Amino acid sequence: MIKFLSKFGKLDRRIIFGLLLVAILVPLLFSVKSRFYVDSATRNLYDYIDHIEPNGRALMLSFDYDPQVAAELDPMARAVLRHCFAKDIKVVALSLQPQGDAIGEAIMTQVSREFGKKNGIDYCYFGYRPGATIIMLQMGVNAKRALPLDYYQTPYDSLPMMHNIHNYDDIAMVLSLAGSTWPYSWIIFAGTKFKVRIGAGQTAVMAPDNYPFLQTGQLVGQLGGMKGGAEYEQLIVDAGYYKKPGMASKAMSAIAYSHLLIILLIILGNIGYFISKKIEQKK
Amino acid sequence: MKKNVPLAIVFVLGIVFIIQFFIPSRPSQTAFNTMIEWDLILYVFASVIAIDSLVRHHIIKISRKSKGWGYSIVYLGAALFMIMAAVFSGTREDSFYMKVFNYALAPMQATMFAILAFYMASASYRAFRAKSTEATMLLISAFIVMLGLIPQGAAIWSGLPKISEWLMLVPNMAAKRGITFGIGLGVTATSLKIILGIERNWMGGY
Repeated sequence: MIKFLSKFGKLDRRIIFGLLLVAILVPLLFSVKSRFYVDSATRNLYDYIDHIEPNGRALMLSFDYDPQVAAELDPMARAVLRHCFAKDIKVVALSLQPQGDAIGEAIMTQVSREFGKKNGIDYCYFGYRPGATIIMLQMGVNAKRALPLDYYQTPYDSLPMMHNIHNYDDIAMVLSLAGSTWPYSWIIFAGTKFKVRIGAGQTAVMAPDNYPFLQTGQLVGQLGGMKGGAEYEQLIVDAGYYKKPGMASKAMSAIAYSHLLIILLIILGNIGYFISKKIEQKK
Repeated sequence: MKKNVPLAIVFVLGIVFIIQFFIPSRPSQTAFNTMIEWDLILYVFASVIAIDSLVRHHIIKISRKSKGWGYSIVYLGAALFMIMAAVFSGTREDSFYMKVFNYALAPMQATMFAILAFYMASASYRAFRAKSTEATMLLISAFIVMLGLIPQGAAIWSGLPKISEWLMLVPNMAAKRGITFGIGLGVTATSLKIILGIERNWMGGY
Protein backbone atom coordinates (compact mmCIF):
# COMPACT_ATOMS: atom_id res chain seq x y z
CA MET A 1 0.00 0.00 0.00
CA ILE A 2 2.76 2.43 1.00
CA LYS A 3 4.68 1.59 -2.16
CA PHE A 4 1.52 2.15 -4.20
CA LEU A 5 0.88 5.55 -2.56
CA SER A 6 4.49 6.62 -3.13
CA LYS A 7 3.90 6.25 -6.88
CA PHE A 8 1.53 9.23 -6.76
CA GLY A 9 4.56 11.45 -6.35
CA LYS A 10 5.83 10.52 -9.81
CA LEU A 11 2.80 10.36 -12.09
CA ASP A 12 3.57 10.34 -15.80
CA ARG A 13 2.65 13.66 -17.42
CA ARG A 14 0.59 11.84 -20.08
CA ILE A 15 -1.73 10.54 -17.34
CA ILE A 16 -2.16 14.11 -16.07
CA PHE A 17 -2.85 15.39 -19.59
CA GLY A 18 -5.43 12.62 -20.16
CA LEU A 19 -7.21 13.24 -16.85
CA LEU A 20 -7.31 16.98 -17.51
CA LEU A 21 -8.76 16.41 -20.97
CA VAL A 22 -11.59 14.36 -19.45
CA ALA A 23 -12.13 16.94 -16.67
CA ILE A 24 -12.53 19.65 -19.30
CA LEU A 25 -14.52 17.79 -21.96
CA VAL A 26 -17.12 15.97 -19.86
CA PRO A 27 -18.50 19.07 -18.05
CA LEU A 28 -18.56 20.95 -21.37
CA LEU A 29 -20.70 18.23 -22.92
CA PHE A 30 -23.01 17.90 -19.92
CA SER A 31 -22.97 21.43 -18.54
CA VAL A 32 -24.37 21.85 -15.05
CA LYS A 33 -26.12 25.06 -13.97
CA SER A 34 -24.29 26.75 -11.10
CA ARG A 35 -24.59 29.93 -9.03
CA PHE A 36 -21.46 32.01 -8.62
CA TYR A 37 -20.26 34.16 -5.76
CA VAL A 38 -20.02 37.62 -7.33
CA ASP A 39 -16.88 39.40 -6.15
CA SER A 40 -16.73 43.14 -5.45
CA ALA A 41 -14.69 43.95 -8.60
CA THR A 42 -17.38 42.49 -10.88
CA ARG A 43 -20.22 43.94 -8.78
CA ASN A 44 -18.71 47.46 -8.95
CA LEU A 45 -18.29 47.30 -12.72
CA TYR A 46 -21.85 46.03 -13.17
CA ASP A 47 -23.28 48.70 -10.86
CA TYR A 48 -21.39 51.47 -12.63
CA ILE A 49 -22.63 50.40 -16.08
CA ASP A 50 -26.12 49.87 -14.69
CA HIS A 51 -26.20 53.49 -13.53
CA ILE A 52 -25.22 54.96 -16.92
CA GLU A 53 -28.17 56.95 -18.19
CA PRO A 54 -29.92 55.39 -21.22
CA ASN A 55 -29.14 57.34 -24.41
CA GLY A 56 -26.81 59.55 -22.36
CA ARG A 57 -23.03 59.39 -22.23
CA ALA A 58 -21.59 56.42 -24.13
CA LEU A 59 -19.58 53.45 -22.98
CA MET A 60 -16.30 53.01 -24.85
CA LEU A 61 -15.42 49.36 -25.36
CA SER A 62 -11.88 48.54 -26.45
CA PHE A 63 -11.21 45.06 -27.84
CA ASP A 64 -7.53 45.00 -26.86
CA TYR A 65 -6.94 41.28 -27.32
CA ASP A 66 -5.96 38.55 -29.78
CA PRO A 67 -7.82 35.32 -30.65
CA GLN A 68 -5.59 33.30 -28.29
CA VAL A 69 -7.38 34.78 -25.25
CA ALA A 70 -10.75 35.19 -26.96
CA ALA A 71 -12.23 32.17 -25.14
CA GLU A 72 -11.94 34.10 -21.88
CA LEU A 73 -12.69 37.61 -23.11
CA ASP A 74 -15.37 37.14 -25.79
CA PRO A 75 -18.05 36.11 -23.23
CA MET A 76 -17.27 39.26 -21.20
CA ALA A 77 -17.64 41.44 -24.29
CA ARG A 78 -20.97 39.82 -25.14
CA ALA A 79 -22.30 40.09 -21.57
CA VAL A 80 -21.36 43.79 -21.25
CA LEU A 81 -22.80 44.60 -24.68
CA ARG A 82 -26.05 42.77 -23.84
CA HIS A 83 -26.28 44.81 -20.66
CA CYS A 84 -25.66 48.06 -22.55
CA PHE A 85 -28.03 47.34 -25.41
CA ALA A 86 -30.78 46.15 -23.07
CA LYS A 87 -30.45 49.47 -21.22
CA ASP A 88 -30.15 51.60 -24.41
CA ILE A 89 -26.64 52.67 -23.50
CA LYS A 90 -24.69 53.91 -26.54
CA VAL A 91 -21.47 52.04 -27.27
CA VAL A 92 -18.33 53.31 -29.02
CA ALA A 93 -16.11 50.32 -29.80
CA LEU A 94 -12.60 50.08 -31.17
CA SER A 95 -9.49 47.93 -30.93
CA LEU A 96 -5.89 48.82 -30.20
CA GLN A 97 -4.68 45.36 -31.25
CA PRO A 98 -4.56 44.53 -34.98
CA GLN A 99 -6.27 41.17 -34.48
CA GLY A 100 -8.86 42.57 -32.09
CA ASP A 101 -10.30 44.33 -35.12
CA ALA A 102 -12.00 41.22 -36.56
CA ILE A 103 -12.99 39.93 -33.12
CA GLY A 104 -14.75 43.21 -32.36
CA GLU A 105 -16.56 43.20 -35.69
CA ALA A 106 -17.94 39.69 -35.15
CA ILE A 107 -19.11 40.38 -31.59
CA MET A 108 -20.58 43.82 -32.27
CA THR A 109 -22.51 42.48 -35.27
CA GLN A 110 -23.81 39.42 -33.39
CA VAL A 111 -24.96 41.21 -30.22
CA SER A 112 -26.37 44.27 -32.00
CA ARG A 113 -28.47 41.93 -34.16
CA GLU A 114 -29.88 40.22 -31.04
CA PHE A 115 -31.18 43.59 -29.83
CA GLY A 116 -31.99 45.15 -33.22
CA LYS A 117 -29.41 47.89 -32.71
CA LYS A 118 -27.97 49.85 -35.65
CA ASN A 119 -24.40 50.88 -36.39
CA GLY A 120 -24.04 54.65 -36.36
CA ILE A 121 -27.20 55.18 -34.31
CA ASP A 122 -27.02 52.91 -31.27
CA TYR A 123 -23.35 51.97 -31.48
CA CYS A 124 -20.30 52.74 -33.57
CA TYR A 125 -17.50 50.33 -34.33
CA PHE A 126 -14.19 51.85 -35.38
CA GLY A 127 -12.08 48.69 -35.71
CA TYR A 128 -8.31 48.73 -35.24
CA ARG A 129 -6.87 52.18 -34.57
CA PRO A 130 -3.08 52.24 -34.97
CA GLY A 131 -1.22 54.42 -32.50
CA ALA A 132 -2.14 52.84 -29.15
CA THR A 133 -1.38 55.48 -26.50
CA ILE A 134 -1.58 58.25 -29.10
CA ILE A 135 -5.20 57.28 -29.77
CA MET A 136 -5.89 57.30 -26.01
CA LEU A 137 -4.46 60.82 -25.74
CA GLN A 138 -6.08 62.12 -28.90
CA MET A 139 -9.50 60.86 -27.79
CA GLY A 140 -9.21 63.25 -24.86
CA VAL A 141 -8.56 66.21 -27.14
CA ASN A 142 -10.59 65.50 -30.26
CA ALA A 143 -12.49 62.25 -30.82
CA LYS A 144 -13.01 63.01 -34.50
CA ARG A 145 -9.25 63.17 -35.12
CA ALA A 146 -8.72 59.93 -33.20
CA LEU A 147 -11.51 58.06 -34.98
CA PRO A 148 -11.94 59.67 -38.42
CA LEU A 149 -13.58 56.65 -40.13
CA ASP A 150 -15.52 53.72 -38.71
CA TYR A 151 -14.81 50.06 -39.54
CA TYR A 152 -17.05 50.30 -42.62
CA GLN A 153 -15.23 53.45 -43.84
CA THR A 154 -18.09 55.80 -42.86
CA PRO A 155 -16.74 59.25 -41.94
CA TYR A 156 -17.17 60.38 -38.33
CA ASP A 157 -19.56 63.20 -39.29
CA SER A 158 -21.88 60.76 -41.09
CA LEU A 159 -22.41 58.73 -37.90
CA PRO A 160 -25.41 60.36 -36.12
CA MET A 161 -24.44 58.91 -32.72
CA MET A 162 -21.01 60.52 -32.86
CA HIS A 163 -22.43 64.05 -33.23
CA ASN A 164 -22.75 64.12 -29.44
CA ILE A 165 -19.31 62.71 -28.73
CA HIS A 166 -16.42 65.17 -28.81
CA ASN A 167 -13.94 63.77 -26.28
CA TYR A 168 -13.84 61.82 -23.00
CA ASP A 169 -16.32 64.29 -21.44
CA ASP A 170 -19.00 62.45 -23.42
CA ILE A 171 -17.79 58.98 -22.42
CA ALA A 172 -19.15 57.47 -19.19
CA MET A 173 -16.46 54.81 -19.00
CA VAL A 174 -13.74 53.15 -21.06
CA LEU A 175 -13.79 49.37 -20.71
CA SER A 176 -10.61 47.70 -21.92
CA LEU A 177 -10.82 43.95 -22.53
CA ALA A 178 -7.27 42.66 -22.65
CA GLY A 179 -4.95 39.73 -22.11
CA SER A 180 -2.02 42.06 -21.45
CA THR A 181 -1.37 45.41 -19.76
CA TRP A 182 -3.61 47.61 -21.93
CA PRO A 183 -5.77 48.68 -18.96
CA TYR A 184 -2.60 50.16 -17.37
CA SER A 185 -2.12 52.35 -20.42
CA TRP A 186 -5.77 53.42 -20.35
CA ILE A 187 -5.40 54.31 -16.66
CA ILE A 188 -2.25 56.35 -17.29
CA PHE A 189 -3.09 58.10 -20.56
CA ALA A 190 -6.88 58.43 -20.38
CA GLY A 191 -7.83 58.03 -16.71
CA THR A 192 -5.12 60.13 -15.07
CA LYS A 193 -4.84 62.85 -17.70
CA PHE A 194 -8.49 63.25 -18.76
CA LYS A 195 -10.27 61.93 -15.64
CA VAL A 196 -12.39 59.43 -17.59
CA ARG A 197 -13.42 56.34 -15.61
CA ILE A 198 -11.71 53.08 -16.62
CA GLY A 199 -12.89 49.49 -16.28
CA ALA A 200 -11.06 46.30 -17.18
CA GLY A 201 -11.83 42.81 -18.39
CA GLN A 202 -8.72 40.67 -18.04
CA THR A 203 -7.62 37.09 -18.45
CA ALA A 204 -7.34 35.18 -15.17
CA VAL A 205 -3.53 35.35 -15.22
CA MET A 206 -3.51 39.14 -15.62
CA ALA A 207 -6.38 40.03 -13.28
CA PRO A 208 -4.42 39.88 -9.97
CA ASP A 209 -2.11 42.65 -11.26
CA ASN A 210 -4.99 45.14 -11.24
CA TYR A 211 -5.97 44.96 -7.56
CA PRO A 212 -3.89 48.02 -6.55
CA PHE A 213 -5.83 50.08 -9.12
CA LEU A 214 -9.16 48.69 -7.91
CA GLN A 215 -8.33 49.73 -4.36
CA THR A 216 -7.37 53.29 -5.38
CA GLY A 217 -10.47 53.64 -7.56
CA GLN A 218 -8.38 54.16 -10.71
CA LEU A 219 -10.30 51.15 -12.01
CA VAL A 220 -14.07 51.25 -11.52
CA GLY A 221 -14.21 47.47 -11.52
CA GLN A 222 -12.85 44.42 -13.22
CA LEU A 223 -13.96 41.15 -14.77
CA GLY A 224 -11.29 38.58 -13.98
CA GLY A 225 -11.04 35.62 -16.34
CA MET A 226 -13.84 33.23 -17.20
CA LYS A 227 -15.24 33.61 -13.69
CA GLY A 228 -15.64 37.37 -14.13
CA GLY A 229 -17.54 36.74 -17.36
CA ALA A 230 -19.75 34.12 -15.70
CA GLU A 231 -20.50 36.47 -12.79
CA TYR A 232 -21.48 39.25 -15.19
CA GLU A 233 -23.70 36.86 -17.15
CA GLN A 234 -25.38 35.83 -13.90
CA LEU A 235 -25.94 39.48 -12.92
CA ILE A 236 -27.58 40.47 -16.22
CA VAL A 237 -29.81 37.35 -16.17
CA ASP A 238 -30.82 38.00 -12.54
CA ALA A 239 -31.69 41.60 -13.42
CA GLY A 240 -33.77 40.45 -16.40
CA TYR A 241 -31.60 42.12 -19.06
CA TYR A 242 -30.97 38.82 -20.83
CA LYS A 243 -32.76 35.48 -20.93
CA LYS A 244 -30.00 32.93 -20.28
CA PRO A 245 -26.37 32.71 -19.15
CA GLY A 246 -23.78 32.65 -21.92
CA MET A 247 -20.61 30.77 -22.76
CA ALA A 248 -18.65 31.83 -19.65
CA SER A 249 -21.14 30.11 -17.34
CA LYS A 250 -20.92 26.90 -19.40
CA ALA A 251 -17.13 27.01 -19.52
CA MET A 252 -16.93 27.61 -15.78
CA SER A 253 -18.10 24.05 -15.10
CA ALA A 254 -15.12 22.76 -17.13
CA ILE A 255 -12.83 25.11 -15.21
CA ALA A 256 -14.37 24.03 -11.89
CA TYR A 257 -13.71 20.32 -12.51
CA SER A 258 -10.22 20.97 -13.84
CA HIS A 259 -9.47 23.01 -10.68
CA LEU A 260 -10.73 20.14 -8.53
CA LEU A 261 -8.57 17.71 -10.49
CA ILE A 262 -5.49 19.90 -10.07
CA ILE A 263 -6.14 20.17 -6.31
CA LEU A 264 -6.53 16.39 -6.11
CA LEU A 265 -3.32 15.85 -8.09
CA ILE A 266 -1.41 18.25 -5.85
CA ILE A 267 -2.66 16.42 -2.73
CA LEU A 268 -1.74 13.03 -4.22
CA GLY A 269 1.63 14.42 -5.32
CA ASN A 270 2.34 15.57 -1.76
CA ILE A 271 1.26 12.23 -0.26
CA GLY A 272 3.59 10.45 -2.69
CA TYR A 273 6.40 12.89 -1.95
CA PHE A 274 6.22 12.46 1.85
CA ILE A 275 5.91 8.67 1.68
CA SER A 276 8.90 8.43 -0.69
CA LYS A 277 10.84 10.69 1.66
CA LYS A 278 10.04 8.42 4.65
CA ILE A 279 11.02 5.29 2.71
CA GLU A 280 14.34 6.90 1.79
CA GLN A 281 14.95 7.96 5.42
CA LYS A 282 14.31 4.36 6.61
CA LYS A 283 16.86 3.06 4.11
CA MET B 1 25.26 64.71 -36.64
CA LYS B 2 23.67 61.23 -36.52
CA LYS B 3 24.34 61.14 -32.79
CA ASN B 4 23.83 64.70 -31.58
CA VAL B 5 20.62 65.62 -33.41
CA PRO B 6 18.51 62.70 -32.04
CA LEU B 7 19.98 63.27 -28.56
CA ALA B 8 19.08 66.98 -28.72
CA ILE B 9 15.53 66.25 -29.95
CA VAL B 10 14.95 63.73 -27.15
CA PHE B 11 16.41 66.07 -24.53
CA VAL B 12 14.41 69.16 -25.55
CA LEU B 13 11.09 67.37 -26.14
CA GLY B 14 11.51 65.22 -23.04
CA ILE B 15 12.02 68.23 -20.76
CA VAL B 16 9.35 70.36 -22.51
CA PHE B 17 6.65 67.70 -22.22
CA ILE B 18 7.43 66.85 -18.61
CA ILE B 19 6.88 70.54 -17.82
CA GLN B 20 3.84 70.70 -20.15
CA PHE B 21 2.05 67.99 -18.15
CA PHE B 22 1.94 70.27 -15.12
CA ILE B 23 0.91 73.49 -16.93
CA PRO B 24 -2.75 73.53 -18.01
CA SER B 25 -2.52 76.86 -19.95
CA ARG B 26 -3.74 77.34 -23.53
CA PRO B 27 -0.26 77.52 -25.24
CA SER B 28 0.77 74.41 -23.32
CA GLN B 29 -2.38 72.59 -24.45
CA THR B 30 -1.83 73.71 -28.08
CA ALA B 31 1.72 72.33 -27.98
CA PHE B 32 0.38 69.04 -26.58
CA ASN B 33 -2.31 68.79 -29.30
CA THR B 34 0.24 69.47 -32.05
CA MET B 35 2.58 66.85 -30.64
CA ILE B 36 -0.17 64.20 -30.67
CA GLU B 37 -0.76 64.91 -34.39
CA TRP B 38 2.98 64.56 -35.06
CA ASP B 39 3.08 61.37 -33.00
CA LEU B 40 0.48 59.73 -35.21
CA ILE B 41 2.38 60.65 -38.38
CA LEU B 42 5.61 59.32 -36.86
CA TYR B 43 3.79 56.13 -35.84
CA VAL B 44 2.73 55.50 -39.44
CA PHE B 45 6.28 56.03 -40.72
CA ALA B 46 7.63 53.76 -37.99
CA SER B 47 5.10 51.07 -39.00
CA VAL B 48 6.27 51.24 -42.64
CA ILE B 49 9.91 50.92 -41.53
CA ALA B 50 8.96 48.00 -39.23
CA ILE B 51 7.20 46.11 -42.04
CA ASP B 52 10.13 46.77 -44.40
CA SER B 53 12.59 45.54 -41.78
CA LEU B 54 10.55 42.39 -41.05
CA VAL B 55 10.18 41.47 -44.73
CA ARG B 56 13.88 42.11 -45.39
CA HIS B 57 14.84 39.95 -42.40
CA HIS B 58 12.85 36.98 -43.72
CA ILE B 59 13.95 37.43 -47.34
CA ILE B 60 17.63 37.45 -46.25
CA LYS B 61 16.99 34.34 -44.15
CA ILE B 62 15.44 32.53 -47.13
CA SER B 63 18.13 33.63 -49.58
CA ARG B 64 20.91 32.47 -47.22
CA LYS B 65 18.99 29.30 -46.29
CA SER B 66 19.68 30.04 -42.62
CA LYS B 67 18.35 27.74 -39.90
CA GLY B 68 14.52 27.64 -39.98
CA TRP B 69 14.29 29.40 -43.38
CA GLY B 70 11.23 27.31 -44.21
CA TYR B 71 9.28 29.09 -41.48
CA SER B 72 10.13 32.40 -43.12
CA ILE B 73 8.46 31.22 -46.33
CA VAL B 74 5.37 30.21 -44.35
CA TYR B 75 5.36 33.57 -42.57
CA LEU B 76 5.70 35.68 -45.72
CA GLY B 77 3.20 33.51 -47.61
CA ALA B 78 0.61 33.69 -44.81
CA ALA B 79 1.04 37.45 -44.39
CA LEU B 80 0.66 38.03 -48.13
CA PHE B 81 -2.36 35.70 -48.24
CA MET B 82 -4.17 37.58 -45.45
CA ILE B 83 -3.37 40.98 -46.99
CA MET B 84 -4.73 39.83 -50.36
CA ALA B 85 -7.82 38.30 -48.71
CA ALA B 86 -8.57 41.61 -46.94
CA VAL B 87 -7.90 43.72 -50.06
CA PHE B 88 -9.99 41.65 -52.47
CA SER B 89 -12.83 40.34 -50.27
CA GLY B 90 -13.08 43.19 -47.77
CA THR B 91 -13.30 42.75 -44.01
CA ARG B 92 -17.05 42.55 -43.45
CA GLU B 93 -18.73 39.74 -41.53
CA ASP B 94 -19.35 37.44 -44.53
CA SER B 95 -16.08 38.13 -46.36
CA PHE B 96 -13.47 35.49 -47.22
CA TYR B 97 -10.99 37.33 -44.99
CA MET B 98 -13.31 36.99 -41.97
CA LYS B 99 -13.88 33.30 -42.73
CA VAL B 100 -10.12 32.65 -42.76
CA PHE B 101 -9.77 34.67 -39.56
CA ASN B 102 -12.63 32.96 -37.71
CA TYR B 103 -12.12 29.39 -38.93
CA ALA B 104 -8.34 29.14 -39.32
CA LEU B 105 -6.33 31.85 -37.59
CA ALA B 106 -8.44 32.22 -34.42
CA PRO B 107 -8.75 28.46 -33.68
CA MET B 108 -5.00 27.95 -34.31
CA GLN B 109 -4.03 30.72 -31.90
CA ALA B 110 -6.60 29.60 -29.32
CA THR B 111 -5.30 26.01 -29.55
CA MET B 112 -1.72 27.12 -28.93
CA PHE B 113 -2.81 29.07 -25.87
CA ALA B 114 -5.09 26.27 -24.60
CA ILE B 115 -2.18 23.81 -24.59
CA LEU B 116 -0.77 25.91 -21.75
CA ALA B 117 -3.51 24.57 -19.45
CA PHE B 118 -2.04 21.06 -19.75
CA TYR B 119 1.49 22.22 -19.01
CA MET B 120 0.27 24.31 -16.08
CA ALA B 121 -1.60 21.32 -14.61
CA SER B 122 1.49 19.14 -14.94
CA ALA B 123 3.79 21.88 -13.60
CA SER B 124 1.60 22.63 -10.56
CA TYR B 125 1.44 18.90 -9.75
CA ARG B 126 5.24 18.76 -9.72
CA ALA B 127 6.00 22.18 -8.19
CA PHE B 128 3.43 22.49 -5.38
CA ARG B 129 5.19 20.39 -2.76
CA ALA B 130 5.03 21.31 0.93
CA LYS B 131 8.83 21.24 1.29
CA SER B 132 9.07 24.28 3.57
CA THR B 133 6.84 26.62 5.63
CA GLU B 134 6.75 29.18 2.80
CA ALA B 135 5.89 26.50 0.23
CA THR B 136 3.12 25.18 2.50
CA MET B 137 1.66 28.67 2.91
CA LEU B 138 1.71 29.13 -0.86
CA LEU B 139 0.06 25.75 -1.29
CA ILE B 140 -2.73 26.51 1.18
CA SER B 141 -3.44 29.95 -0.34
CA ALA B 142 -3.48 28.41 -3.83
CA PHE B 143 -6.05 25.84 -2.65
CA ILE B 144 -8.23 28.55 -1.09
CA VAL B 145 -8.08 30.77 -4.18
CA MET B 146 -8.75 27.87 -6.57
CA LEU B 147 -11.67 26.59 -4.50
CA GLY B 148 -12.97 30.12 -3.90
CA LEU B 149 -13.24 30.70 -7.65
CA ILE B 150 -15.49 27.73 -8.34
CA PRO B 151 -19.10 27.03 -7.25
CA GLN B 152 -18.01 23.80 -5.50
CA GLY B 153 -15.87 25.88 -3.15
CA ALA B 154 -18.92 27.79 -1.91
CA ALA B 155 -20.77 24.45 -1.62
CA ILE B 156 -18.04 23.11 0.70
CA TRP B 157 -18.14 26.25 2.84
CA SER B 158 -19.83 29.55 2.03
CA GLY B 159 -16.96 31.52 3.62
CA LEU B 160 -14.38 30.17 1.16
CA PRO B 161 -15.07 32.65 -1.70
CA LYS B 162 -14.85 35.54 0.79
CA ILE B 163 -11.48 34.37 2.10
CA SER B 164 -10.32 33.89 -1.49
CA GLU B 165 -11.41 37.46 -2.32
CA TRP B 166 -9.64 38.78 0.80
CA LEU B 167 -6.43 37.02 -0.26
CA MET B 168 -6.64 38.80 -3.61
CA LEU B 169 -7.66 42.16 -2.17
CA VAL B 170 -5.14 42.38 0.67
CA PRO B 171 -1.96 40.22 0.55
CA ASN B 172 -1.98 39.94 -3.26
CA MET B 173 -2.65 43.65 -3.66
CA ALA B 174 0.10 44.62 -1.22
CA ALA B 175 2.65 42.50 -3.11
CA LYS B 176 1.49 43.79 -6.50
CA ARG B 177 1.63 47.39 -5.27
CA GLY B 178 5.22 46.93 -4.16
CA ILE B 179 6.13 45.49 -7.56
CA THR B 180 4.26 48.31 -9.36
CA PHE B 181 6.17 50.94 -7.36
CA GLY B 182 9.42 49.22 -8.27
CA ILE B 183 8.49 49.16 -11.96
CA GLY B 184 7.39 52.80 -11.80
CA LEU B 185 10.68 53.92 -10.28
CA GLY B 186 12.60 51.84 -12.83
CA VAL B 187 10.66 53.36 -15.74
CA THR B 188 11.23 56.88 -14.37
CA ALA B 189 14.96 56.27 -13.92
CA THR B 190 15.34 54.79 -17.42
CA SER B 191 13.30 57.61 -18.98
CA LEU B 192 15.48 60.22 -17.29
CA LYS B 193 18.61 58.42 -18.46
CA ILE B 194 17.28 58.46 -22.04
CA ILE B 195 16.26 62.14 -21.86
CA LEU B 196 19.63 63.14 -20.42
CA GLY B 197 21.51 61.08 -23.02
CA ILE B 198 23.07 58.64 -20.53
CA GLU B 199 21.20 55.62 -21.90
CA ARG B 200 21.78 55.36 -25.67
CA ASN B 201 20.82 51.80 -26.62
CA TRP B 202 17.74 53.07 -28.45
CA MET B 203 20.07 54.75 -30.99
CA GLY B 204 21.27 51.37 -32.23
CA GLY B 205 24.93 51.53 -31.23
CA TYR B 206 25.72 55.26 -31.64
